[in-house]
Amino acid sequence: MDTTTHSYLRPEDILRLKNYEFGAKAMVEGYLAGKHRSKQRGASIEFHEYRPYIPGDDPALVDWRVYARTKRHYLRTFEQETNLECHLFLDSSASMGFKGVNSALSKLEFGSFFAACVAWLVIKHRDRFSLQLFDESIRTFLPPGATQAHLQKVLRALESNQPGGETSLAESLHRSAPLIKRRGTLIVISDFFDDPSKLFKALNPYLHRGFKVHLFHLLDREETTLPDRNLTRFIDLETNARVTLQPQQFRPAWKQAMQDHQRALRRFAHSRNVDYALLHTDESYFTLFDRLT
Amino acid sequence: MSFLFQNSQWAWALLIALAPLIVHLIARIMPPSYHFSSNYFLKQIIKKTARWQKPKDFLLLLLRTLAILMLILAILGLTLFSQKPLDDHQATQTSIIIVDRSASMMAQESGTSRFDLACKEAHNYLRSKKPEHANLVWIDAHPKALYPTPGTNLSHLHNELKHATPRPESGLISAALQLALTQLQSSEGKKELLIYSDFQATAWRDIQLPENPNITIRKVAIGSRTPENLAVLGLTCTPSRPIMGQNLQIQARLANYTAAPRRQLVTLDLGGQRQSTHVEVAAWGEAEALFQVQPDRTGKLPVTVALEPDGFSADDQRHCVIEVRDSLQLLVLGENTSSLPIWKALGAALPWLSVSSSASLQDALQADFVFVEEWSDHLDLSALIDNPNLTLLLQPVSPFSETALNALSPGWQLTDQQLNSVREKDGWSTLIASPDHSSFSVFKNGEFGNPVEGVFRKRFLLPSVSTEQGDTLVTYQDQVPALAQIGRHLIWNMSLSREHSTWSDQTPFLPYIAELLLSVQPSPSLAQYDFPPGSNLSWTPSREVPLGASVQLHRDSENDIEISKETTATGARYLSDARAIPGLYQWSLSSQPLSYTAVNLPEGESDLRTLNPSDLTGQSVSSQELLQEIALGDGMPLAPWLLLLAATFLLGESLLSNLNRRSLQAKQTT
Repeated sequence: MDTTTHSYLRPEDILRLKNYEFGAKAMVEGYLAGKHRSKQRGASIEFHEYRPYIPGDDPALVDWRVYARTKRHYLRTFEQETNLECHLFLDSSASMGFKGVNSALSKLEFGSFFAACVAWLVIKHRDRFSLQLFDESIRTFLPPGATQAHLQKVLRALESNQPGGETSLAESLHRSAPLIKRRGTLIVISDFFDDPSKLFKALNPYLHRGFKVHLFHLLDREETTLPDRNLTRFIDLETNARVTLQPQQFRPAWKQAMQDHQRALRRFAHSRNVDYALLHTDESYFTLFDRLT
Repeated sequence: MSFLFQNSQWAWALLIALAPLIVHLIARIMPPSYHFSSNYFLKQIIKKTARWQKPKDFLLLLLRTLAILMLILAILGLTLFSQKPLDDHQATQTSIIIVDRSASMMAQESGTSRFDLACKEAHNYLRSKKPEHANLVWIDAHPKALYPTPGTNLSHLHNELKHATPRPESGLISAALQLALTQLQSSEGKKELLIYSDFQATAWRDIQLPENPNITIRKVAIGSRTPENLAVLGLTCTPSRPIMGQNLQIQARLANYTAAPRRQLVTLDLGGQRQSTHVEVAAWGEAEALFQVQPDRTGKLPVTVALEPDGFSADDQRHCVIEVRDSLQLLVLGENTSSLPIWKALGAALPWLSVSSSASLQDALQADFVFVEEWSDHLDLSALIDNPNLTLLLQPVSPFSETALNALSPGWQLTDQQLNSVREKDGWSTLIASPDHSSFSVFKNGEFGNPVEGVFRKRFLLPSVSTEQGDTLVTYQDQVPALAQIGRHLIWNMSLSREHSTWSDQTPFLPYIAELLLSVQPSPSLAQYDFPPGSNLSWTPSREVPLGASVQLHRDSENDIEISKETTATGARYLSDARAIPGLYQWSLSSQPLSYTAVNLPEGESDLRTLNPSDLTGQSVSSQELLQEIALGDGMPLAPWLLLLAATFLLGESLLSNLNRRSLQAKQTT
């Protein structure tokens, strides 16, 4: 794959991603481990393997010819071509453009690096990857694709992406639902400066349709502790609202508020069997790949 | 009250106090901007904390501003004055300090004597006030000022106060005041008189401080409580000139200046003879200790009565000197001394009685008893009547005189009949009229017979003696006075000659005359041996000091005291150089004691109670108030207080700043 000209997909990341091939198959096999039967019959089904019958399996899947030969019950499993779709929502609102004084990357850049890696990994295994860049509305939608050309489109879209306006993740999810026809994995990368209840309300349709949802909460270190400054006028990147205060005086309260917010997100995620992870921009995004297994 | 800046050249620094406010305002108006991802949570936090955050911010700003302001005011040297500060045109200050160093100032309170306390406070005053002219006057037996006029040398005054000691003597308060006021009146500028004293009630009760509008009088009372004290106030020896072996009655008057009754051991030392007794003395009361002792040798003997030592020891002892003689002298005065043989016979029979006769009044002055054979107005006995050293035995002679009687005691009137003696062949007998008189004490039980037994054929018809005039000891059977005591003298209306009386032939005559003479024996005050403390002792030897012999003076068992000799018209006189303090002094000639001098604390000094100085004219202040006034008058620098305030404000600011953080940290840990 020709990726050397793209800034969000680095050679060293690619080398490291090769170790995550298993992670991609695991996504696939997770689907085919007897839990979900593909409703799409006929085209592009390949024999995968025989496995012993377990009480509870569908007797229709038993290979009787093997039974006649061996007097043992075995099931035939099949590998469905391109039955995994990975849909990635990257928050591109103005707040994602925040980069702390001591940070190397803004949240958007960090998220773009991660999104590029996921796209490469999925497409490498001939799975389909879609990309949504949103702020208060959907700015860019690349429908699922599994080709190299599609990967190039994704990378170019990421590179040309700039922080936009206000955040409305719920609205973007809502608007994207009709565009995403097949269930798969839903990854949302955002700073989630929004009401958690609205967010999970917007996720309900996806959850009902059987999507596997991962919420990756991205924050800069300064957003966790407030910057170490004297009296400062804080200007909201999204709303341009201004607040003048002494960060030192409000730091304890800010920390408490952030922890409460994260706790709320975690609680909602746990209640709906949604994966939630918090990551700071000074950490490695490869830890998120571990969570994708 | 007014304020002044000592370092006003730094006044512009006051603007620095506005720095926190200016910084705050500038920071508020033009704070640095910071683009942040979301103010959503910040707004929520501000809304929650606004109720206390804004007042807290205001208070912090206020504390910072005040802290800086206090520091700047301290640097500027803010000073508080009680009045307008003096400038160069104000008058000079002349202060005269009177310090009481009389005996009562030796009293100890809390381990320090009143005098030491007074000197310390006077020293503090001088050090703080620093008057342009000052002087020091002591209240003692000889008040004097340190300088003839108020001087500028304060260091010498400080030195004098540091090294001075109190004196066990009474203070002449009026003289000290007069001395100080005289010096002040001739001084220029502001005049001030300060009196440091305990204001002992017995000493100050009758003192009137003058009211002078030009002189500020301030009284500083020293001592806050009355120390407990027991004292020997008086000592009397009767008779004061006894003969050897005679019963001597010594009476000591004690006083208890405490709030509780005391039982005291009182000791007597009479020239080496010692006795002791216990005496109960009531609270704030007096009592007497009585001793009976017989001197065992002739000469001048010292008498000392002592108590157990207490905190005020100057009055725990009292001394006096008595003269013990081997005989009493009786002189028969007159040209016609028909009674002389009788007296001679008495003198021969009584070893302690020496009888002589003379017609000279001058010779009579040396006797203890003078029998005036012919008493009438032809003799001017006024010098003898008033002489405390002798007793007159006055036998009237015809023609008697009312004048003579009135010279003895006024108020007599005689009729013609009473002016001449009468004779009776059968005579008259006599009766004892005052059986309780000490002369009759040995005759009370009748063992020694009737002391006035006899027949008297010649007498004068003297008028009765009233109780105001005297005491009739013996009367004739018809109540005509036979023997009467007027004062210490006797009117002798009992003839001694055998021609006119059988009295001298009676057996009881001799013992009675002895008892009578001893009972009327003169007991003069031996004031020549008493000197007040603070005076220079003097002694005139009764005979010339041999060449080569040296006279010494010493007190108790101490070293010799320096003395000087002066020659007077009557002979040499020796004077002590130092002023006497209470004690017994001995004058010796080549180590042989010849005489004694008793110096006792004046009675009034023993009562250590003080009066309220407010009762006297002038302002009463405490030493602390005085020093504070001086500090305010000279300006009280407020820098220490301002620095303390600044530190307090900064501490408050620090605590307030950390308060919110700590409370939130506590919430997080819970």
